[in-house]
Amino acid sequence: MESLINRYRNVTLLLLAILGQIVLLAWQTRTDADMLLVRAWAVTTITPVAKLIDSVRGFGSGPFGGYRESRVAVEQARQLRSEVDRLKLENSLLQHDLELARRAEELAGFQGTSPSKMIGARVIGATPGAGSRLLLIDRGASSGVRRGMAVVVPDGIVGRVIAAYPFASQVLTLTDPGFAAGVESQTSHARGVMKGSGSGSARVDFVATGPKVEKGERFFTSGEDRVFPRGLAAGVVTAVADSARFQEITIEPAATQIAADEVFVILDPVHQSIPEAGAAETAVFLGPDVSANSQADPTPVAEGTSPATTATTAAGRLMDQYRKIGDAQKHVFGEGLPGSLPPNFNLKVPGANAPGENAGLPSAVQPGRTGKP
Amino acid sequence: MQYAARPMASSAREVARASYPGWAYVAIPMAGLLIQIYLPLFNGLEFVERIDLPLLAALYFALMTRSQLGGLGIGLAVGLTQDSFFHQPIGMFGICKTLAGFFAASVGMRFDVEHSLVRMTICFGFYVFHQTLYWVIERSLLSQQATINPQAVIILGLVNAIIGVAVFHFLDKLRARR
Repeated sequence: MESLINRYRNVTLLLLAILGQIVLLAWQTRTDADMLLVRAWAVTTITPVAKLIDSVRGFGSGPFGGYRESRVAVEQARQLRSEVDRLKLENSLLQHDLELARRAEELAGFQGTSPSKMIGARVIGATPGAGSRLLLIDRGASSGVRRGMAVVVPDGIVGRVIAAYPFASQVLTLTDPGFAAGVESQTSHARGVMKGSGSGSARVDFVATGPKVEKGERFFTSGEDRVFPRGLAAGVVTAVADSARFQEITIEPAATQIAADEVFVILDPVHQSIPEAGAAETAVFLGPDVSANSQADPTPVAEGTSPATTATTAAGRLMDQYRKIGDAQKHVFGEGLPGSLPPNFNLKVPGANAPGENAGLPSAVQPGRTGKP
Repeated sequence: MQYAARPMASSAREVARASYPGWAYVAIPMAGLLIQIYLPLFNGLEFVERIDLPLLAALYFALMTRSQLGGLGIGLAVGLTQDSFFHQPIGMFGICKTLAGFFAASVGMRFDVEHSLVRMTICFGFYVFHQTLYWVIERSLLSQQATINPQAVIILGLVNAIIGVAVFHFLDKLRARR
């Protein structure tokens, strides 16, 4: 007997391991329970490493990202003068800084204007799989994040928290087949359930055939799921097909970058109204502004003046003013090397910007009325 | 004499068990898991999510240690760890990788797994086996309407096999000297 056990020991252990896992699967499926402890241990173990890698990534995409771009710029501009090379490099770095600043401003603005209380988080990992996509963010239960909270970016909803660990959380993104959210269309106010499709798009189920949803219509969260507050952008309809009872609607998620670097977790949701639909974007001809014409310079245009200097618009009048100031200082626009002195635009020239003799300038550019206190 | 009957392994050296530093059994699969989780966040590296590095790591240790229990253990550990990072019941990857590890060790005892072509074939075969078994478990045990694309599985199997040979070559450097 003992020899028999020893002979089949490996196979027996294999069967036990498989059987144990099948039982574990069955238990999770039947009770809808989750092995939170196991997941917590795994995520907590990997979080410090993921944060470390993320910091390295941030370092690499910062100065080294700019350096890479500059290398390309230098390669392309090898035949140009060294001065132009330096300016291009500076421009590249400044553009990078500007983009970072713009992104930060956008995020801060979103957080400041939204009535919901939210907390910013960095995406420190993703667990993509077959038809499933999760994000790992660096905010957890210690920051007030709880399971079921909504995760958004300024463009729209991203997903919801499915597990909150002490210092990190897992987010189920809206493209995951397991994701669902209550949504409402902007124009027809048709309500349905937005579900992920496993690919880049999502669909809206259970929209009755009554109110017709049009392609291009926008969907917002309805707030009925008690996860996402009402009024957050969900997506834009890309295809609509009628079936017997419901409309089959496919939408493109509003948050175009699902795996954004920074996201917000809504801690205390506040419902908002769904914005009214804007007018259709069609090419419309607009005539000249009546108020602008009434303030136009009645002075006849000098002979030989080009049509661009007839000063019928604010920009035209401003150009006329600059030209007169330049003429008074014998400056010819378009000449002179970069770095040469420009004309003194603060010089008072009668007929251009001198008091009492303005040439029909709009109030905003008249001296002493620049709008500054 | 007992090795002479084996089709591929023709010497005792070919079926000798390799051993590795203890940290390698933990660090290598963990590194594979981290790479699979994290690299897809970089622009242009999204394809990394299709490379099953944890499977390759489990296969390597199972093949080279030529121990069925060792293969079972490392497959089980890697699979369950991978499960804990995915939004799915724990045990899906566990079952697949447990079986893959066990069978890989069995194959390792019979074939010359030092040969690159053998390694590539094994990586390809076990990748397809792993993906197919995963799909079967999804449909049969979880009753999910999962789909499988055989062409994609075969192409990805080839890609994984090529990468596997390169990774195995690198991991050979960690083998403890006797």
